[in-house]
Amino acid sequence: MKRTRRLGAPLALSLATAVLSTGCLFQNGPQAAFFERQSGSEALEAQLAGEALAQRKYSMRRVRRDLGSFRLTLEQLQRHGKAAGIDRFVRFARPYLTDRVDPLIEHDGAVSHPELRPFHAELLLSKAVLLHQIGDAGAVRATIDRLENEFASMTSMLVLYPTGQAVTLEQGIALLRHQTGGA
Amino acid sequence: MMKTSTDHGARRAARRHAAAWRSGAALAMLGGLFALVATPAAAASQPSWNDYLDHAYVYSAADEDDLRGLLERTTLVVGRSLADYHAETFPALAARKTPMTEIQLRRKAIAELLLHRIGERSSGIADAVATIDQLDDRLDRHENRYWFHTIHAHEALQAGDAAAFVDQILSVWLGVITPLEVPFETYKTLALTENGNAGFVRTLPHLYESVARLILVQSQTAALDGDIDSLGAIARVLTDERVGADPEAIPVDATSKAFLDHVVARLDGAESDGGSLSYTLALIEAERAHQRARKSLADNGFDAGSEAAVRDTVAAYQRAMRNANTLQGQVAIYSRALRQVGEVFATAERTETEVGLDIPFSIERALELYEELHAAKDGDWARQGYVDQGRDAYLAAMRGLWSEIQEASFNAAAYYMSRRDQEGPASDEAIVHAINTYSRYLHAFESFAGDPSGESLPDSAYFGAYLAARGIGDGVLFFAGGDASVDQLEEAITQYQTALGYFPFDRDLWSTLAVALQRSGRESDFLAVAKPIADGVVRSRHLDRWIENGSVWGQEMASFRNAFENDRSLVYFGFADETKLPELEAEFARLKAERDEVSARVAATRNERDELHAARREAHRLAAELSGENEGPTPPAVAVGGNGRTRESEQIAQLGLDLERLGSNHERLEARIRAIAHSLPTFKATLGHEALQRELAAQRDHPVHGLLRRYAEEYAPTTGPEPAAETASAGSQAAWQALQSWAAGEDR
Repeated sequence: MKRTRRLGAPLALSLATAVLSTGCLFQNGPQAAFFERQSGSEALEAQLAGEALAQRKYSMRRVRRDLGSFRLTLEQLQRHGKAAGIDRFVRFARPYLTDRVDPLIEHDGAVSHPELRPFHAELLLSKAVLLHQIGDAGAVRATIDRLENEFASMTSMLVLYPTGQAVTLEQGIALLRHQTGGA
Repeated sequence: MMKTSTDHGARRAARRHAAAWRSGAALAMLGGLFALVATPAAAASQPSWNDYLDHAYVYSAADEDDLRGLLERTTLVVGRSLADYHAETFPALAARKTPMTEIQLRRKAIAELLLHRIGERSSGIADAVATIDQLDDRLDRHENRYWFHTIHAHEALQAGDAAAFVDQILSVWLGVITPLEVPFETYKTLALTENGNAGFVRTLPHLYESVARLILVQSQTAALDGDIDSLGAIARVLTDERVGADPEAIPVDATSKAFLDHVVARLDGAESDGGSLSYTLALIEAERAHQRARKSLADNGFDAGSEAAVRDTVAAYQRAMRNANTLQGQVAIYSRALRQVGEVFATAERTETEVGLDIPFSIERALELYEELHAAKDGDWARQGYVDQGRDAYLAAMRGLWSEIQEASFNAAAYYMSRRDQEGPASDEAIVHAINTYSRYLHAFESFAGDPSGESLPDSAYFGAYLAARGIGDGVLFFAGGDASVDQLEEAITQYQTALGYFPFDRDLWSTLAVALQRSGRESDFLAVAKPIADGVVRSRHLDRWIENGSVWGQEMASFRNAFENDRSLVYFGFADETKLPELEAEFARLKAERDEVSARVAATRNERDELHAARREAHRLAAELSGENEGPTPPAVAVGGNGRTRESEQIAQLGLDLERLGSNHERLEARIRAIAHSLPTFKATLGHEALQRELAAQRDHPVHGLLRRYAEEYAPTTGPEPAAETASAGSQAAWQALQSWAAGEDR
């Protein structure tokens, strides 16, 4: 009895990790061999079925909202001319983009699961706006290029701009260019 | 190392125990914990401080008193205190040849942090920092990293180093919470967060809560006086399905969710400081101190505790002021600090105590802030901090500040007016302060009341102008023991006219105006002085509409208007009141009795005269018969007197004169009775409505304030022949200047 229970939990955990290890979805992990047997989009859809897909959407939405909060804070620090606070926050925001946001929008050739594409685009827009607030024009340009290249055939897709407006991606990119001074 | 199920049971119990104590709101759970610990299964593995320290992430951020209570109760369960455990365990481990393990170092650091937090560590946080720094090569483990940054955050709090505190919290977020969020979501999806193998990942709800408490509560408990605005981002994201989002881990009521939501709402609210977290937290802390001071003043008056509470509040508002970056922020602070000024003066008046507190938030400075706000009205109001909240928030802040200026001014003035010399009469020095306070308000009001948009001032400011003008008049009359000079009386009369122009429904003030006129020998001018003000009421279109619509207090105002239409009723306003009513009614009855008496005398006199006429006619007839007058041409004389008239003729003539006099008297009486019969009930109908004044003084948003504003704008009260605004403004300044000279004895 005791033995069964002790074995049960690790088993369930390992199974769960194999199916739903969200943190490793776009990284080369132990599950790579399984997914290598399928084409890109099939593999993605297989990985992101049901709960996992819902969780992924949830995660992407929340990160997008987090980026909105970061942008607002940075904007307010800048409005008050708090140089030290800005530096401190930028030292936090840059690695956050790298560690938390980039894995979610990593380019894998298939531009993610179809249902995740709007979130993917929204995260790129939010990232670009935050980078603009940070003052990194080069990174803004690179992000806009990514949007234009990766979503070239999906510009009529409806997305939420970081300010909360619902726009087409084409309009979103135009807004972004306008907001960032045509970076 | 394999753990037994009883180990897990004890650990779970410790975790639940700690979670319950986090908020101090779940005492009931404590019984459950002790029961659990006391079961035979748990008894096999007695909970130790190691268990509690391994779950310290659950409770380490609790309020100091709650934490102390938890540690004391845990001492009873474990059998020795945390300090004893620390003293008995770690020196022995350190004495061994082998260095302490990672977990031993972590427990030692946590124990030192907890002892520091409850004030049982004379070396402060330094020991915990030194211990946790020994793990700086093991920060790849999230648990170590969490405690490393948390302990360093406490070090920053102790040092008052806001920048270091921000760095540590951002590091916790970036280095611990961010990497744990993804696996936590996965475990949560699989309902594995309570699984023992989920490791430190499952602690995430507690880490959210601890970070929230560090930012919101402990930074303020430590009176951290610096810029932590960068943490505004963390506060915002903590509200986003993080704090309070996992009721299985922490019941929502036991989290800081409500407070966190409140803080974030304030960050974005109308009384923010451009989103500054440092400012918002400092202001909220000041508001709490203010509430404590308010209660203490209400309960205990000016005892030592109340004075200390007021000083704490002042210090807290000053700290918020240091964090205010915008006019918006300063205005929000002043609006609150002025309220405390008013409360202090009101308490002093109530308890007849002298104000001995120095509050650096002055009405003068508040008026300067108001002026700055007002100057931005048509231009850069958004740049004053209201860019996110909009113009309505800006206008509301401006009017709110004015309301506080008004209330603080009048509380201060009322306090000064209540001050007495040792001999008893009102102190001249205090009266000068009161007049100064009223004049300052009235002058400021007159400066801003001309705004045609009507956006700058609250409606209640117009009632405030009435109170201020009346206050100046009263002050002048009371000055020098009430022995006012002619100039002072004239000033008082002018101020009373102004006051009645703003609020003509104060019946007592009409009487006071008449008294002032009497004392200056001008009682006969009352009607001339009062009539223009009364006519303003009679002619007011706004008042007419108000009455017609049956609005609140409309019926009572209609009775005033009726009274003002009639000169005699108006005179009653000057020279009568409730106390004189019986006298007036007795007089009315006497007049009626006198009229009846005169009527009777008229009737009697007329009767007497008629009888004399008849007698004389009969005498003439008899005389004519006796003398054969009917046959001859000359009638004989009948009782001719010395003046050639008969006695009856003289009596008849006299009675005719009497009748004329009585008739005239009767006519006059009739006219007086008719006038009184009309005006006395009209006047009586205006009695007993003093509650309106009390309501208006107590309720800033009373609907009648709006009417008074429109009425004043329509009527434009004047204090003389000059244009209203100019004269009134000059009047309030002149009052003060004149008083200065009176106080100096120059013109008496």
